[in-house]
Amino acid sequence: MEELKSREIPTGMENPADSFIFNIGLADVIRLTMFGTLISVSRFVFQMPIGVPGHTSVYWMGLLMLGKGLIPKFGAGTIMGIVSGILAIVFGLGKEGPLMAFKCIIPGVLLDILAFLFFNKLESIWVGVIIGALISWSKLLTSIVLGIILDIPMVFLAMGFGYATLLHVVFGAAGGVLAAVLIKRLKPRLSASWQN
Amino acid sequence: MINRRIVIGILLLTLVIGGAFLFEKVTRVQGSQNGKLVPVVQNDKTIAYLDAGVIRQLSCEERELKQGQGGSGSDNAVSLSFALGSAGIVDYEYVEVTGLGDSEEFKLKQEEMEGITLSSNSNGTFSMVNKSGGNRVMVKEVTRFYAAD
Repeated sequence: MEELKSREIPTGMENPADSFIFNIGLADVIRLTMFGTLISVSRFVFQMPIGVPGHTSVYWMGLLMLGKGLIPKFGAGTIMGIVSGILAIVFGLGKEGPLMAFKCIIPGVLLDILAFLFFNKLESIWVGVIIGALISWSKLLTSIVLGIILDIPMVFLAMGFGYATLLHVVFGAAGGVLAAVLIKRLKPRLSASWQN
Repeated sequence: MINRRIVIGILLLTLVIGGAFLFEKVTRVQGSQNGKLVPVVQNDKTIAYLDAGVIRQLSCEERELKQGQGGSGSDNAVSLSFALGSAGIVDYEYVEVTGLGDSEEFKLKQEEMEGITLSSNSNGTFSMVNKSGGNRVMVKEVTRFYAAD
């Protein structure tokens, strides 16, 4: 059997599906694409007219962290960010137009960096709180930078910044906690079947 | 190792929240002092803030509204009554407008507001101009509006 396997794939030649993008296999990329799609769809479906800034972070950051926790590879967050960013443009979410993609990509990239710094221990509640809150805040900061680029009056950006930060941090942390709980439960069940 | 990073992370979060409130306060105080952020006060309570960007945006809205009604608006200038109305001030006896430094203070009643506009300056502040009085600049850099009941 082993002989047969080695005859199928000559030594030194890698299957392209094993390292599709960012050294992540095709199967994982497809799973990450699914999470990216879920992020955009959830924002579309669960958008509530409650006028509280940052409430979308609960499921946005929750799903982002869940995807990263179940596929703990560097670049996973970025892929989910890119996919959700492209879909956000297609769905016409947000007021920033095509620049809206950055609001999705930046938290994804930051998630990759922070997960690396916390040894990918996203199943820990405290790590979930910290990473969820920080990536949610990065979304707020990106919105402000986009506002400056799009020439939105500074008064709208500066006023209520503290309150907006607090809410983004709280909702992001809540998303992080939910993700940590789900990762803890799902990871042992999926680890066997989700191996490439 | 991970516990140390968690502690650092929590400290960072505290710093982020504290820093954001501090940034907002500093921006508010500095902006009010140099006329770049103008508070609109009613009953000793700040109900809105205006800046040159808001004035530009309001001028566009007023121009569109006037064009829709067959009139014409001017560039980068919005009528004082429209600006106050957008800030939620509609019922008042008079409005006190204060300028930067030792410039004059004006008390304007509702019937005296005809032709008085706010015009954005290039340095991020805005001025109060009397259009019906030959475009006379009344306050070069506005710093505060006070609406008295």
